[in-house]
Parts: sequence; structure tokens; C-alpha cells
Amino acid sequence: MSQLPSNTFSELLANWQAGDEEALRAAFPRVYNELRRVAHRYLRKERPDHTLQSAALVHEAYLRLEKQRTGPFENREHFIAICAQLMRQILVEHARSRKAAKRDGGFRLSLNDDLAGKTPTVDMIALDDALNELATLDGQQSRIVEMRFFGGLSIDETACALNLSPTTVKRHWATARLWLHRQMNNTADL
Amino acid sequence: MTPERWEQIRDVLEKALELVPDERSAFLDDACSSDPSLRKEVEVLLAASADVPSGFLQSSAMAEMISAELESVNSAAALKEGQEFAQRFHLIRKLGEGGMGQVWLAEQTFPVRRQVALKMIRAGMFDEAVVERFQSERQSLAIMEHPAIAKVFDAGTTPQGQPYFVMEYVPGLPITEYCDQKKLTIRDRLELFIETCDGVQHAHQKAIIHRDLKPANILVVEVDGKPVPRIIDFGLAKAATYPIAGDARKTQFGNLVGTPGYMSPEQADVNVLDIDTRSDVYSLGVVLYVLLSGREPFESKRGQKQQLDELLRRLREDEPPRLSTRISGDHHFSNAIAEARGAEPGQLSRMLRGDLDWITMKALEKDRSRRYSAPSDLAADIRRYLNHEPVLARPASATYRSGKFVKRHKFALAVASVFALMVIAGAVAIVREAQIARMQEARAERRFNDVRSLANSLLFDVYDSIQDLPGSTPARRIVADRALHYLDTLSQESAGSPDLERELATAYERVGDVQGNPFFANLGDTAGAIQSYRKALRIRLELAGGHPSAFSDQAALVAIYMDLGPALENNLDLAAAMDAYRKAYAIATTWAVDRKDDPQAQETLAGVCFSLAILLADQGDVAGSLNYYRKSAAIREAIRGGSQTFRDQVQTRLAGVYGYMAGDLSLQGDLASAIALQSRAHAILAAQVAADPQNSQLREFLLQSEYWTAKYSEQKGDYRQAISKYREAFAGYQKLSTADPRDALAMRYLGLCEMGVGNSLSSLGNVDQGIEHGRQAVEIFAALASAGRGSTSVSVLALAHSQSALANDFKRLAARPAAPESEVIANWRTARYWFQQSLNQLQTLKQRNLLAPYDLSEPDRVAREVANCDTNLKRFARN
Repeated sequence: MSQLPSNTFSELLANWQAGDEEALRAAFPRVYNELRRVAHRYLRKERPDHTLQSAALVHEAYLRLEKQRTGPFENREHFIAICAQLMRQILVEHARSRKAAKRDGGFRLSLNDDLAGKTPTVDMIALDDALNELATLDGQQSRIVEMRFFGGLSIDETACALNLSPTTVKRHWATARLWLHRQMNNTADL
Repeated sequence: MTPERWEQIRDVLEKALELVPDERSAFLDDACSSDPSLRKEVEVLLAASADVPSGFLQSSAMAEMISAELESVNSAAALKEGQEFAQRFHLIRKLGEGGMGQVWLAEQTFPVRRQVALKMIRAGMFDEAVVERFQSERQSLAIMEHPAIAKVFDAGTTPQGQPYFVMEYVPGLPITEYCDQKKLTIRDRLELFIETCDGVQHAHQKAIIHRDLKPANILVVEVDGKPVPRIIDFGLAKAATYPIAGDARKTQFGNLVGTPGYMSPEQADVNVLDIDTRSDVYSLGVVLYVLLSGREPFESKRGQKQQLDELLRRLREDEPPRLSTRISGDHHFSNAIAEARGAEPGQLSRMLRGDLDWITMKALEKDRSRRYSAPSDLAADIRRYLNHEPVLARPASATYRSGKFVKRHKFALAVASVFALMVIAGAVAIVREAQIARMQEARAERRFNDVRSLANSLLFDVYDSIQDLPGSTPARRIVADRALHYLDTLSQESAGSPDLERELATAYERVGDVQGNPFFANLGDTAGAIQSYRKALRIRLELAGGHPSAFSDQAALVAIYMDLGPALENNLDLAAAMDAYRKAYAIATTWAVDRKDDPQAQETLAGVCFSLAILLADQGDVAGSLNYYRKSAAIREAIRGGSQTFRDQVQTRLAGVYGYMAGDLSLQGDLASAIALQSRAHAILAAQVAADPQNSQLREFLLQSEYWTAKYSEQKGDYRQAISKYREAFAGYQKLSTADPRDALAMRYLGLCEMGVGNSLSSLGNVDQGIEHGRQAVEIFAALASAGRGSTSVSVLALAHSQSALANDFKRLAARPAAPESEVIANWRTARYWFQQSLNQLQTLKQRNLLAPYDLSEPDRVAREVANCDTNLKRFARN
């Protein structure tokens, strides 16, 4: 990873949109690092329970990434929407490589070896598959999930980014969750 | 399922979900009357809704990932006793765990066998910044050598990315616990504390601030039965701090580092960025407070810690209660505290009242300028207390001083007869009155002279002795800040004395040089430098005005104009700079005529000519500029007299003239002459470096000369020669930059070398490698421009150039024959992106009128490149 030349975050995003998969891999440490720093800052505030408020956390990370933004993005929503897509790719790819690392039995720098024993709250790979499935039925709903879950956007922000009314987003979000949950469980049963 | 079908299902489902469960059945009867299978699908999903956990997809994916990650970091990769660590440590037992990470007692097996304390810092993968800072800290930590400071042997990072420090293992108790356990008296506690101050003072002299002094970091061990304090974790607080991107100062200082209760008010204030040594003085004050009274200043009740916010607020706003008042009140507690100090509560309270109250209060001043300025001052005052001498912390008062006098002479007084005693008392009173008046006067004068000699020694001895050492920037910054602080104090008191005024002006000039003289390795604070220079100029003008014929004052006036000019140029105030040079030129030409045989006068004029030449060149007046260059070079070539050092300096400056002249000639397209002149400069400098290899200034000049030879070779089309020269220069700059990562000038040339190698490689056809170097260059300049280090507009221009160079490479790639279309498109896109980036920077510079004449056409050129990229991209869009 260190072999890759480092670019600005925006360039990575632009290249990735243009189909450069390497750019994604290069963007990952950057994004990840930002998130970690934000997370650590939260810890340093010595909150008694150490809880991370997810929305605030993600927003702070975006704000910081956005500072590196000089790229061809029309507006903030557009930028965040791209980030959400990127985040999805990153997390899913990360989940895949962790799975592969376990299978290989080889040592690999992983986020977290302890986690191997735990069941993650959401199976990222299954979710990704289900989301792809949902996209064939309704692209908009799949994007809503992407922005809400991977992008950390609120209902209102998602509505703004997709130019929909908050009520519509709320409705579509509810049915998408239902559908995804059933889809993921059905697949798991097979 | 088809999208249409899903839409049907979804519409019904959404409506059903909005109803209360009881109403759903009726609704479905109605909505799906003609389509029973639709109803079935909806019902399945409705039924399943009970199974969906309420949190499903509700928190964000990143938050989940990060909490998992933090959990794992918190459990610190499960180190076990007996485990091997980093291949040369054998973990014996965990000594502790705190906010920063874990500490283990370990046996080092290689290269020496010894017991060490291993401090593992909480961090994970990708925390390169932390690891980097570790590496730079370890150098400075290694230079501390003091019995009261635990040694830092080494620092490193495991292959898994775990940073760690290897430190001397100190098997001792925290100082407060030790003192209580051994029931040490107040005097013994103070002795131990003085030794602690000595250790901190030593570190401060090495420009290292602890930032987290507290009893847990001051351990006491017994050496030959005698307690000795040993401070651990020096500098670690800084090394393990997380940086905030984009602001180099925040990186170091901006986070809340320290331990509540022991941190200084400025540490508790997020707006204060420059934490200095006086912050440690505050923390020492708290330690002293606890050693003496058994309580922290802001502890509300015994053992009861407050909310952090409240504590920080009190720390910033409230005055701490006096030591002596802490002993009264709660009787059980007071008894225990007093007993641990071998005293009765009333006795203890009396001991603390007075001097010790004053000393702790002075150490705990909120305004750091009112605190003891150094740990040694704090220690010295305690020493005075122990010797029954007047302490500085206490404002002068007659009864106070005589009290001290009586205490000091109490043996003599005790043996005297009652009669004698009365006589002595009378004599004492008379002597004392006279003494006090004399003392106050003498003290004021002594203080002034102390401050003056301190400022001078800082500026001329300390600074000079470290300025040529690589890696000394932080130390120099501290020296400069401290000196400026002293000077401002002095300037209020020195009015009316020309000698003092001269001294002050010289000192301000020095501080200005240190802050931001663009010709030397500086601290990058141009605005600060201009301020200091203007302070000096104001004094010089008064002096020169008051004594119209005094040559030395006139000379000094020229000198300050010549300092101010470049700083103004660097701050892009070109008109003001030109004005300064012209004023200097007027004075200097008169002299050069009047004092034909004075090499100093000749050299001064040469210097002014040189500066004029550069500024004229920047403003596009090529002919005028060359004229002044030639004048300057001719004068310097002719100088024979003066000391060896003076002649050396003239030579260095002569090389400078040739170098700059070469630059301007190269812009005229006369590359052959440029290379010839540059090689003359190189020869002069190489000889000088050979004679004085430790001089980093000369080395930098030589490296610059190498760089420019490379640059002209590149422009001439001699790429192989260029690459080899660039690499030579790069290696040299890398050494400088590694030794001192804050050296903005070295960074800039590293960027320029990368750009040059990149361009040359691309021109030779090796575009892929060229791009890699080009990217490095962009990265370096972007960092420089955003950090505001050195000359920002220069960095921004360099950034623009490096971006368009990188774009050019992608353009070349796009033009590669037989490339797949997707690749070609991607390359045009990237090229366009970088041209656009470059254009943005250039336009900003142009709007602010910061483009030199030969760069004025650059924005249009780059704009055409952007348009060209668009044309090509459109071509593909049509296909």
C-alpha cells in the first residue's frame, strides 16, 4: 500500500469514479485514518461511557475529508453521496479481505483480530449482495440505504441529496430495511 | 421479481406500515382484492417486520467499524506475561495501564540484557503520523542525561504498527506516596522537590517539555539509602498526541494533553496553542501543593474528584485556595496529613503560612508570565526559604525582611544577653532601613542587567552555538520566543540611554533574523520578523536622527533596511521593499565614495546593489537588474581587505550574486552562460564547505547551487546530466530534512528536486516513473502551502507549477499510441484535473497580484491546456 503514490483525496475519488480500482485501495487508509483520528478525539474527550455518536462521528470525518476537497464535485450532497458509495466499497472490500485472510491462515494486517471471534452486527458482504439485488428492483431505494447506512446521512439530508421529500425517503427507507433483512436472512438459510 | 412488481408491493406495504396493526387487514382486503399473491407478499414482509431488530442498519457502518476497532485497540492486542515482544523483549509483568497505553516491565535480551519499562502507545495501523513523531521525539529524548530523569533508551514500532518506548525501569513509588509512607518532614519533602525541579530544568535546557508532570510520573527510588526522585515519561505526551491536519502548531500543541488536576490553565484552554516550559512550572507547583498540603488545589472535597468540565473551568477561572487554609477544616483529614509530615495540624498550618503559601501561589499563577519563569527559579526560591532568606515570591515588606534577618542570626541572638539583645535590635533596625533602600535600588538595576545579559546571552551565545547544528529548530524557536519576551520588557525600561537603545535594536534584529530572515534557515514567521525589524528600525532612526554624523548609526540604519527589505518581499509587499532598498542605496553610495579604502563600506554597497537587482528582476526590469548584479559582483571581486571571516562572507555573497545572475540569464534563454555562472558559484561554495563542513548554511547554499545546475541542464535538454545533479541535491536536502523536519527551505527544494527528476524522466520517455516523482512534488508543495510555512506565495506558485507538470505527464500518457480507449480517457481526465488545479492556484495568485512578470502568461497557457483536455474528452464522448 505504501508503494502507491499518494494523491489528494479528491483525485482518488475522481479516479475511482472513472473506474480506477487502485484508487479505492489508496483512498482507504486515508479515510480510515481520518475516522480513527476523529474516533480518538472522541475518546480523548473522556466521555464516561466512550460511546461514539455515529452521526456526529461520520459528519466530522466528512468535514475533514471535505477540507481536502478541491475536486470536481458540484455540492456538498454530491460529495457525500460519492463518499457513501466509496465507504460501501471500502467496508465491503475490507470484510472480504478479512474473510480471505482467515481462510488463508496467513498473517495480515487486519483492523482487528479479536473481531474474528465475534459476530459483526451486520454481515457486510451479505448486505452488499442484498443491496445489489435491491438495486435491480429500485435503484433509488438502494441509494437511500447506501446514504443512510454507509454515508451516515439523516433522513432529511438523504432527501436533500436525492431531491426527494423526507416523507418519501422515510417510507422507502422503512420498506428497504424490511426487504433487506428478509433477503439477508433467506440467503443465510440457504 | 420485477421492478414493477416490487413497486406494487412496496406501495401497498408502505401504506400498510403507516396503519396500526388492527387496521391493516381491512386495508389489505381492499388494496389487494384483485391480486391475492400481492397480498401474500405484503403479508410476509409485514410479518417479518417483527423479526427486524430495531437497530438494524440504524447506526452507521463506519461507527460500527470504529467501535469494534477501538474495542480491540483498548484491549491492547492481549499481551501476556512471558510473551516475546518486538523480538528482543521478554514481558515480565504489566506495570500499569492508562489513557496512553500499557506499561510493561520487560527483560531486554538484545543487544544488552537489562530490565526495562516498555511503554506501548495506543495506536493501530495507518497511524504513520504518530510513528513518525515517535522517531523524531526519540532523538531529542536521547539527549537528556540527568540523575532525576529516567533514561529513554529507544523507541520503535513493531511490524504490526505498535509504537513503543523503551525506558529505564524505575522501581519506585510516586513522590507523594513515598513521602507519606516515610512520613517525610516538610524540609525533606522540599529537598526532594528541589531535585525534581533540577531534572525538569535540565530537560528544558534541552528544549524538551514534559507536559504531564504529576506524582505518578515522579517516582522516588532509594540510592544508598537516600531518596532520589526520577521523572518518567518525558516528552511522551507530545509524541503520542494525535495531529490535526493542516495546522502544524496544533499538531504539536492543540490537543488536551495532561492530567486533570495537574495540567496548567493554558493546557486546559484549547485556544492556547503555544504550551511552553512554564506549563511544566505550573504542574510542578501542583505537585508541590500536594506534597505540602495533601490535596490538589482544586480538589473539592477529600478524594472527591469533580466533573472534568467543572475542573477545567475552575482551573481557568478560580484562584486556588492558599496552602495553609487547606490544613484547617476537616479534622480527621488534617490530622492524617499533618502526621504524615511529622507535625501537629496547627504546627503544619503555621509552617505553610507565609513563604510556602507565596511560593506555591506564584508557581500556580494563571498568567504564565507571572509564574516563575523556570523550574530553577522555583527551586531557588524554595532554597531561599530553607535558608531563611527572603523569597522572591513575596512582595517586599520591612517586617518580613527583618523576620528573615532574625531567623538567620538566631544563634547569635540567642547567646547574647538581654542587654546586648536590645542594642543589637536597635542596630538591626537602623542597618535594615538603609539596607532595604539600597537593596531595592540595587535590585531594580540588577534585574535590568540580569534580563539584559540573559537576552544577550540567549541571542548571541546560546543561539549561535546551536544555530549551525541540524535539528535545532525547536530549540531555536524557544530561544527566540524567550529572547523577544525579555526584549519587550527591556525596551520599556531603556528609554534615554543610547547605548542600551543600540543594544536593543541589535537584539531585535537578531530575533527578526531568527523568526523569518529568508536568507537563512529560519522559523518561518515572516510577519513576526517584520514586526521585530520595524521595532529595530524605529530605534535606529531615532539614533541616526539624534547623531547625524555618527557613521556606525548610519551603517546600522542601512543594515536594518537591508533586513527589512527581504522580509517585506517575502511578505509580498514589494513597493515597501523597494522603498527600503532605495533608502539604503542612497546612504550606501555616499559612503562607498567617502570611504574608498573601507572594505566594509564597499561590501555594504555591493549588498544593496544585489538586493535591488533581485527586486528589479522580479518586477521585469531585466536590463536594470543585470546592471546592478554586475556592479555588485565587481565590487565583491575587488574586495581584498578585512578579516578572514569577513572575506569568507564576501565570497559566499559573491557566489550568491553569480547564482542569481545565472537565474536571470536562464530566464532570458542564455542557458550556457547560466550554467557557467552557476559553476563559478558552485566552485566558490564547494571550497568554503570543504573548509567549514559543519556550517549548515554553506551546505544549503552549495545544495542550491547543485539544484540550479540541474535545473539549467534540464532546460537545456541535457536530461541525464540533470537527473544526476537533481539526485545529488535531493540526497543532500533529504539529510537536512531528516535532521530537521521543520526546515521549510529544505522541504521546498526536496519538492523542486522531485519535480525536476520527474520532468527529466518523462522527457526521456519514462513517463510512469516521472509521474511518481511529480506526485511527490505536488504532495510536498501542497503541504508547504497549506501549513503556511516559509514563503506561502512561493509555495503556492511551486504547487501550481508542479501540478501542471504532473498534468503534462498525464497528457503525454494519453497521447501514447495503441493505448486502450478507457485508459486514454482516464489519462485525459486526470490531466484535466491537474491542469484545473494548477489554474486555480495561478488565478488566485494573479488576482492578488502575486505573479512575477515571467509567470504572467502562465494562467492563460494552463487555461488553454484545460480547454484542450475538454476537446479531447468530448471527442471520446461522441465516439
